[in-house]
Amino acid sequence: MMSDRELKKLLNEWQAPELSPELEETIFAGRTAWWKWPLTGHVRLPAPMALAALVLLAWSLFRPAQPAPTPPKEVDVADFQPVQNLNPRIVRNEHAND
Amino acid sequence: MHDVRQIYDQLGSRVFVFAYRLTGARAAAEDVTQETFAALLRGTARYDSERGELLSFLFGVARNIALKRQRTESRWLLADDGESPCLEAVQPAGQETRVMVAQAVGALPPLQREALVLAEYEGCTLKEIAVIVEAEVGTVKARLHRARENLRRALSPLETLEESRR
Repeated sequence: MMSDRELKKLLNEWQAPELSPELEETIFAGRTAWWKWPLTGHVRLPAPMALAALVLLAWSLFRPAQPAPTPPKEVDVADFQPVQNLNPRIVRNEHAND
Repeated sequence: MHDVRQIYDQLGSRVFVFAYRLTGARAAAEDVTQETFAALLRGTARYDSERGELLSFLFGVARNIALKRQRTESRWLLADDGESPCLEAVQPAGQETRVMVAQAVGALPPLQREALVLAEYEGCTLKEIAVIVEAEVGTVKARLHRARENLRRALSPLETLEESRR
């Protein structure tokens, strides 16, 4: 049976290759500074949340336009005009002479 | 990011070599190494100095990534006991010793293989291996014993060849 020493000697025959210099570029080249994130970053969003956001956006864009309530008009003294055609009508109380 | 680059400069090749011996393929080892350092950059893998050496931590991350890939690709069965069904004696005729050793190590069940690679090639102690593979020291010792027994059996034709040359 093979001894530990002999086994170790055999195992040492298997040499690993060198690390490729390109791997470093692959790992670090794609990394951007934090301040570039708003321009180049991305966010992973769960599908239900994304759908809900889309529905809300669509509803806010295409909801039926409602007429805005008109504010009550303020009355100014200048709004009061003298009566142009004054045609007074006297109404007497039929029991006035009783 | 600067710190991660420094770590890569110091330990990147060690992680790659470890991943190479785990996966048995250069491309897979590069992928595992890349994912290991990407996890550091993203912050999904955080090093705690109280839990051991940085290299052991990196081996642990690389090991988990390699196992996950292998599970996904269904290449390996996660059996760690007994003999591997595919662990037959290597055929020395016309093959270099290093190729036969690589084949024999590659044919080990993954949990035996990682224990053997960490002990024989990375020089880790049983305790360090136990931390890396998240197992008890006794379990690691048993895996290592079975791995060596399997390798002795698989590599026995090489021993016979050596004796006949003497």
